Order: sequence, then C-alpha cells, then structure tokens
Amino acid sequence: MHISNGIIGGPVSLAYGVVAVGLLVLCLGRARQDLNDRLAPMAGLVAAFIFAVQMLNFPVLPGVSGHLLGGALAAALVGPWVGALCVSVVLIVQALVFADGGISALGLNISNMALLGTAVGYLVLVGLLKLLPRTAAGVGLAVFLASIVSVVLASQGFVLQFVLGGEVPLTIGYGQISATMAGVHALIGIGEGLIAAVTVTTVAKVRPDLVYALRGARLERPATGGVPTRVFVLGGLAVAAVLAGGASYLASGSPDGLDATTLEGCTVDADGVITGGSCIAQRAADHELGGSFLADYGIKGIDNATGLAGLIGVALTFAIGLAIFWSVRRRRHADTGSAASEPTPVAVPAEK
Amino acid sequence: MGAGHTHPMYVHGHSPVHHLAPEVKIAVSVLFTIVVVATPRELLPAFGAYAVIVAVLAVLARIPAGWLARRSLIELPFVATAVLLPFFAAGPRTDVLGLSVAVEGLWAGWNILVKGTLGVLIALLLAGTTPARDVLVGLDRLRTPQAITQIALFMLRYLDVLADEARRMRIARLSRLDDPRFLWQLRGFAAGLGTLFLRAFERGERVFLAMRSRGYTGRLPAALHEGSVATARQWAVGAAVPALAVMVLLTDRFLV
Amino acid sequence: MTALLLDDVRYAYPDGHQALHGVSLGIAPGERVALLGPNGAGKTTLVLHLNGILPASGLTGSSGTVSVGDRTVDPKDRPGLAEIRRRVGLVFQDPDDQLFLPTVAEDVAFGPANLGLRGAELAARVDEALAAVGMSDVKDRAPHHLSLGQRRRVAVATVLAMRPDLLVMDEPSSNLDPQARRELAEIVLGLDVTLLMVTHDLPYALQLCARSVILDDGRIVADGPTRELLADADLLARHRLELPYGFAVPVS
Repeated sequence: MHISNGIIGGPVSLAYGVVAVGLLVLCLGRARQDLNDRLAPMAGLVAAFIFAVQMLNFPVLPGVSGHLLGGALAAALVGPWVGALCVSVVLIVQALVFADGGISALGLNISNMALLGTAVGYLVLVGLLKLLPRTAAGVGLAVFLASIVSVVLASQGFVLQFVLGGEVPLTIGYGQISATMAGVHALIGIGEGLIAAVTVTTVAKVRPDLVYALRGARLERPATGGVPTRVFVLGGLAVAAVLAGGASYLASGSPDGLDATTLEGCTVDADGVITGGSCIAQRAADHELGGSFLADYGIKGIDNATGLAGLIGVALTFAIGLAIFWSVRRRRHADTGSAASEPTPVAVPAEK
Repeated sequence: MGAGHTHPMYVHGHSPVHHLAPEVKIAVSVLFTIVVVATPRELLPAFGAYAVIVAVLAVLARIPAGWLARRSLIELPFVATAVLLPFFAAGPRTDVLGLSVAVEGLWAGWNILVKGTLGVLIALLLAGTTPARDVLVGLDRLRTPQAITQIALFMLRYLDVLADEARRMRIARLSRLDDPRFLWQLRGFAAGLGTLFLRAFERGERVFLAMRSRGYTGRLPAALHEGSVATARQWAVGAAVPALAVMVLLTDRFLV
Repeated sequence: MTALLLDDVRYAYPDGHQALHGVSLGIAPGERVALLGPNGAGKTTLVLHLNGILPASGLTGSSGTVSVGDRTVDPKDRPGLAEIRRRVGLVFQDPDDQLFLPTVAEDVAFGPANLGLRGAELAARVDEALAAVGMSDVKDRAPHHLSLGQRRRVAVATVLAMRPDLLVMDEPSSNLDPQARRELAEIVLGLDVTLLMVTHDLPYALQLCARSVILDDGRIVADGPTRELLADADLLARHRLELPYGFAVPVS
C-alpha cells in the first residue's frame, strides 16, 4: 500500500508527516526499554522479513500499490513499539534505497502501515490471546485474524487520507474506493495472515522466548480432542472469506454522505491537489470485457449487489495481481528461492 | 552469505555525485522531492526545468540513461494507471484525438504521472550513487535515532541471510525432487517460512554476538567512515540543487 | 594470577535445556589450552560465557562466576562488559558470522574503532593484525570473495586487532583443506597470546596446546597434558572423541 509522490496533497502529507514523527518519537521512547540484546537482531530480522514479503506487489489504485504489510507479524514478534519502528525502517529504506513509495509520502505511508497497522494488529492480537487457548492453533488463529483486521484497517487509513487530501470529482465515490481497498486488502490479509500465523507458531514452538506477544510463556499442549489443524485452517479461511465479502459490503453500505460531498463538485485548488482514482484496475478490466454486471457496480454505486460485485471485482484484481506475480516469479524463481525443507504438520492450502 | 545483495541498486562509480557525503545527498533528495510535489500541476515549464535538473545530475553522476529507464519501469504500473483517470473523472469534458476525456481527470493523471516519475528518478539517483550502508551512515549523521539506524543495519544484513538461507533450503528441496513450479511450491513454501525465519534468526543472532564480542554498542563506529563526512563546501554544492528548484518554482509561479 | 577463571558456571537455555552443569576452570597467562568435547557438549555455550554474551542479563537458570584477569563478568555492568570484550577475543567457528563489512580492512577496523581508535592509529592496528595472519595483501577485497582458509585468518585478525589478553577460537580447523589447516596452525603458534581453542580435531589440539580439557554433557570430565589425555583410549571413547584413522600419539 505504498503511496507515490503526488497522490495526496501537500498540506495533508505534511500534517501526516508531523503526526508520524511525533508518534515515532513516542515509539522510540517505549522501544528503548525493549530493544535489548535479544530484541535488536530480532527487530532486524522482522524488518528484513517484512521487506521481503512486501516485494510481491501489484497496483491497486493509481499510484497506490497492494502487498502484504506485516504489521501484525511485527507486533506479535517484537511488540507494538519496536514493531512500528521495524515497519517504518522498511518504508524509509524502500523510499531512499529502492525508490519505492514517495519520499514526500513517507509520513502517509508510515501512518498507515507502520503505526495504524501495527497498533491495530497488536490490540486485536492481545485481545484474542485472552480469549483463545495458548496452544499452537490458538496463537496461530489469533495472529491470522489480527493480520486481516490490521491490513484492512490500514487500507482504510489510506481512504481517510484520500478523503482529506485528494479532491477530484469522480464518477465513483469514496464509498467505492473504501470498498475496493477493504476488499483487496481483506484478500491480502488472508495471505498475510497465513504467512504470519505459520511463522509465529513455528517460532513459538521452538523459541517461545522470541515471541513478544507470549511474553516468554510456553505454548500449551492442546487438550485431547482439540480441533485438528486442518479444520482450524479451513475454518479460519471461511471466516476470512466472510470478512472479505462483508468488509466491502459494509464499507459500501452507507457512503452516501461521502458520495454527496464528492459529487458536489470540488473546486480545483490552485495548489494542484492530487487525485487518486476509482478502482481503476477493475474498471479497466470490465471495460475490456464489456461486462454489464461490473459496469453496473461503478455507475449505480450503492445497492444491494455492491458487496457481491465488490467481492468479484476484488477477486479479479487479485487474480491479475497473482498472474503478474506469478510471471515475475517464474522468470526469477532461480534467485528468489522460496523454501521449505520438510513439510510441517500445518497444512496450508494454496491461496488463489 | 554476503553475496552482495545489499547493493542491488548501487551503480559503482567515482563521479562527483558518488563522492558527495551521503547525508548531503539524502537531504538534497528529500528537499528536491518536496519542492516537486509542492509545485502546482499547471506550471508545465517548472516540471520541464526539474526534468533538466535531474538529467544534469544523472550526467554528472555518470548513471547510464538505460539503467534509469529500466529501473523506473519497475514503478511504471503504479503510475501508468493514472493515464486511465481522464476517462473516469466527472466534470467538464474535452476532446483529445477524438476521445472524450474529463479535463479534471487529465490534470489529475498528469499530476500523478509527472510527480511520481520525477520522485522515482530522484530516489534512483540517490540509490544509484550511494551504497545502502552509506545511506544509513548519512541517516545517522542527520541525527536519526540510533534505534532506527540499528534496525535498518540489521535489516540489510538479514536480507542477505534470508536470501542465502532460502537458497540453501530450496536447493535442499529441489535435490529431493520437489516440483519447482510456483503454485505447487506454495504449500512447501508456507510450511518452510517459519523454519526459514528461525534459521535466519539463529544465524543472524550469531552475527550479532560476533559484533557484540568486538565491542559493538548499537552504532557503527564513526572512525570507520570518517573520510566521507560532509564539508561545508559539499553542503553548499548540495544546497544549490533544491535552491535552484525553488527558484524555478517561484519564477514560474509569479513571473510567467 | 590467572588469565581466565571459571567458578561453577551453570547455564540453562530459555527453552529449559540445561547446557552447563557447573564448570570450573583456570588458565594461566601465556598458556595454550584445548577444550575438547563431542558435538552438543556445551563447548560453544561455554565460550559465549567467556566475554559476557551469556548469560543475558535478567535471565534465570544461570549461576557461577567468570573472571578475566582481575575483572569478573557482570551482565549488568555495561562499561565492565566492554573491557571484558576487549580482553577476550572470540573467533567464531563460521567466519561468515564474524565478517560483515564490505572490505577486509573495514572489518578488521571494526573492533578497534569500537574501542575508540581512529585515524593513523587505527590504520596501524589494522595493518599489524593483518600482517600477523599473513593477509595484508587482501586488505581491500570483499571478505566473501576470499577462500574459507583466508576468511578464517581474517576473522582471527579482526580479533587480534583488539589486542586481546585471551584468544578464544571455536573449531578453528573445521572444513579447512590440509594446507590451510597447517598455515593457520603456524600462525597461531607464532602469536604471543593466551589461547583457549575449542575443537574436536585431536591432532590439532596436540600440535597447538600442551594442556587439554574435556567437556562432556556440560561438565569438565578430564583436565591434563594433551599427550596423556589423547593416549587414554578409554577416556576418549567414553566421551565420543576419536583419533583419526592411522594416527598415533607420537612418543616424545
């Protein structure tokens, strides 16, 4: 969800920059207590891991990319304060060393992905860990759900920035932008949730001392007759699918207010305020396909079919993204080595 | 290990831009980008002038145009969708080459395209002339908190370790006849992620212990890179770039 | 006066595994001692205690004291730890764990620079250390472009540059070809330091160290002249140690 230069207006970018710096200073203060000998290399690894998974990305909106975020993973392994710093470091290095994400949009990106994503991920995780048993399955499920919620809410952080800082009269309202972002990111969240859950449970089994969210506690053995891993994973996926459909439905359920303001015709500010756009990827696809169903989605906007249409559109976008990712991956699979030695008992269905 | 992954974007060279202290280059890049983004999108000549400044810097840095073009292509999909905006924006419409497009969308698309591209080119010039570690040194000298530079240092170090461990585990798997095709790999890939993470951590932990053993306290000793500290002259030269950009902006805004 | 003194050192890993069950050991200045033991005996864990990396402060399950010269290791005493780490030079088994900077010279300079050296003094220290291991000509090369034998020698130099009182080497001969192994031995024999060498390469221990200590299952089970220990076939067999095929302890 990297925002490029020039998507969000200068004053809003600046305001977010100031807020981001302020909150990072707070994190630094808190992190100082946490960043001991054990956590310093862990923080580096978490940052590197997030950096690596963020490399798989695809366009969602003009100037905005979609990819795994890693906030919940960071919160689980190194805690919210150091976790927010880790994701920030990833974003700073990406902007300066890899030209990924606008330098002037750093404040926006850090606010969404590093601060909002990590904070939400941690809160959900801590809440769920209170409810769920501290078994491998319980911790895995907690991390999985925390990832989804964190990613979806972080995407809504962008929507807020866009509402504040990008005014362009579009035929499509903010409600649809919100729905698109939520839908795409619910799917991203499922992928991220799987990766984060597998990673955290493996670490928790072997080195529980490295999982911040467990605070040094060992995993409990599941009670006899506990839920089998496969059932748990499939159940989690079902929950995620409901969330994905529901999120876009809810997000588009009552955007009237926002839509009205948009359609009232914003004046173009002399400072050249920036636009993003509608769900271009889907609309482009529907343009080529000439499908009336999806076209309807764009024009009518708010009706009962939106949730479903959103889901289909999202799946389409995701399929395109996956196809791009796949072809890139094929070309480069020699050096991007993916890896596994022995299959662990955790069965992970391929996401499509 | 350490097969040089940490400098994927660096173009080796000895140009004046390469020799500029990293803190100067970072400050210049950030300021220049801010000026570009703050420029109203209607000031077309200003963007032309910025492009000329970037081109001059690229020539000074002896960064091949082909490299810049190839590298910025990676960002293209994210910016190119802006081209579609004119067709989807509301408001007054105009005809371009017989197509009806929204004026507002045209401007919005242009705005993203030009600012995004210039921003990427500026960042590429920084990355191409400054090894990743020097960027960290520069950030450190710009008073970036130690916690951040330390995490960043370990992150770059761990990227090597991760890539290295991933490669070894993949070879181990392939030599046992695993199917290398992507979707078939996903399952093994996901299952191996946790293992990869742990292996990388334990390796990196040893690296960290070795550093601690030699007296590391959280920041690279300044003596290792004292040769490249920015002089007043370097700061002055560097400051000229954003100053020039601001002058372009002001001239265009108020005189033309 | 001892260079190193361990008194009843016990350590349990966070996962509960008890690695050291009360180790006591003294080494005199100038002495060269081999620490022998099978895989998993706790050798590396013990080594990490020597410069205060273990036990991490605030960790339970560990006890005992480690003294280097006149100083006792205290995980909470940061300035004290810095001094301990200057005195004890640790050469890790895998040089890739040790070398992390872009050039050999920078990596060798890392330690002394952390000690506060700079400029000409730092450069002189680097040259001296590289010369001591015969690696002066690779100064400006990238460590990962060197052979394993060369990297291990550079790793020794990174530690020598800190002028340690005690040099600790973890499996220095592992994976080296015979020539590199011999060259490293010659370098070590030429150094004027107190040495603790962790290894299960018994001939190497015999060549380099007059005294040996056998560690097994977190306990010291034998301590004496290397020649005598290696001649005791039963002792070696009990602790999963073996002389290479065809090797007999030379009679002096």
